[in-house]
Amino acid sequence: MGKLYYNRLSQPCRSVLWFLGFTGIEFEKHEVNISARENETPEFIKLNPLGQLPVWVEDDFVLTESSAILQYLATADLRACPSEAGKIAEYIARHHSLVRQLSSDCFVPALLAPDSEHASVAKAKFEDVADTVNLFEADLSKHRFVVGDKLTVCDFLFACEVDQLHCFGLLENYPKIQEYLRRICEVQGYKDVWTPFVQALVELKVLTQVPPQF
Amino acid sequence: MPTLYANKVSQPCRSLLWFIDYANRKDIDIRIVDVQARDHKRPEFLAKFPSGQIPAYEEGDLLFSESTAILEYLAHNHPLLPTDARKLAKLHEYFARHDTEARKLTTEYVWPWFVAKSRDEMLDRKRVGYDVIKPILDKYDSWFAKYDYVLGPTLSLADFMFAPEIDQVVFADSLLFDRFPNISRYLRRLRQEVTGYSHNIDTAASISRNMADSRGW
Repeated sequence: MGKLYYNRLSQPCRSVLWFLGFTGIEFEKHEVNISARENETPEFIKLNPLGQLPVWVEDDFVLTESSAILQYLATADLRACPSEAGKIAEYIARHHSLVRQLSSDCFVPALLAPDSEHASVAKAKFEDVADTVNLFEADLSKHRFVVGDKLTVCDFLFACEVDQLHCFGLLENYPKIQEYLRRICEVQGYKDVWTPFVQALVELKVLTQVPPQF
Repeated sequence: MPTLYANKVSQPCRSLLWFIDYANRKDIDIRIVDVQARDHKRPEFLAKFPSGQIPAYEEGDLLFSESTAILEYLAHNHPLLPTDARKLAKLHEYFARHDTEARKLTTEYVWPWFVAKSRDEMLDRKRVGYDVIKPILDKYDSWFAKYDYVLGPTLSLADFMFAPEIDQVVFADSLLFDRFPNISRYLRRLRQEVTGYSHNIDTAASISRNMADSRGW
């Protein structure tokens, strides 16, 4: 049985957790407490010298990078036919170079802001990522999912980046992304990962309350 | 005929041109995009490739960019694309990390000094850039003390992505790789053993020399 090392606040971890819930693959969960620096212990560094999450382990096979883990675990249903494979790989490359900024440049600074400043930092930092969000608002007016009209592994990556913005009410002017997230809510396993995520944000006082429905 | 839009000054384009040469893909039409004339920002190009970037690939209705995606697509049915799920996963793991590691050798070191507007600015940028890339060079020099290629003992598609990013570092400082002997040995191995690599690096070197000569310093 595979083991997943994860943290519930991390987008790449949520993507993989959700995907495992979606597919019903059995696995062992190992939550890693980043604020207690459990990802910096010698045992963890031995597993992943970069000290990053998520990590997927099967016996002596250790795999990092959420996109690699998702593609590895993808069942026949979600594996792309050759003509779609290029578009999926294109999204994955763009996810790392562009979409991940929704976390690094907006959500994470907001998360780490002093108490009572989380929302204002999120709003200020949103300007830095607005172009990327605009791109996907335009894309999602042309197709139902982030790559084409069918659910792919790319949605497991994308939705967990863009839903972070909803936590701070930053998607009010993006009806297509909101419609997309409502669609994502119906996907098996999504709410099981979204709910603990927003509850953790409330416990940490990053949010005063759980965000409204999409 | 499938078409690759590329330019040899771009490292990700070099990765694909090298693979096309290595795999003897005579079926691919290579269209050189004049980046200095900003051909990749013209409406006709943007209509097909909204991100306005090269490399870009067209095959009938299929249009996409991103070098790792194009490389994997071109390698469909080629022996270098692993059929073993775990080996493929390790390749995907490398691709995911490529932008935050090897690509930085270009974006943080080679580009900044290349676009500098004076000799002083160039020297300053090289100093700053070197501090950023040194940990990456150290990591890979240690790696190549143990393994012959980026993913281990054998050549993989990861080498096609990696080598064009790292080999250009030597254009900035020809003595740099004296400090990283295992990386030097890796690049010599590619020259000697891997079809298409010598031609690929030598072409890039001559473009780089011409651009440097035209600046006069």
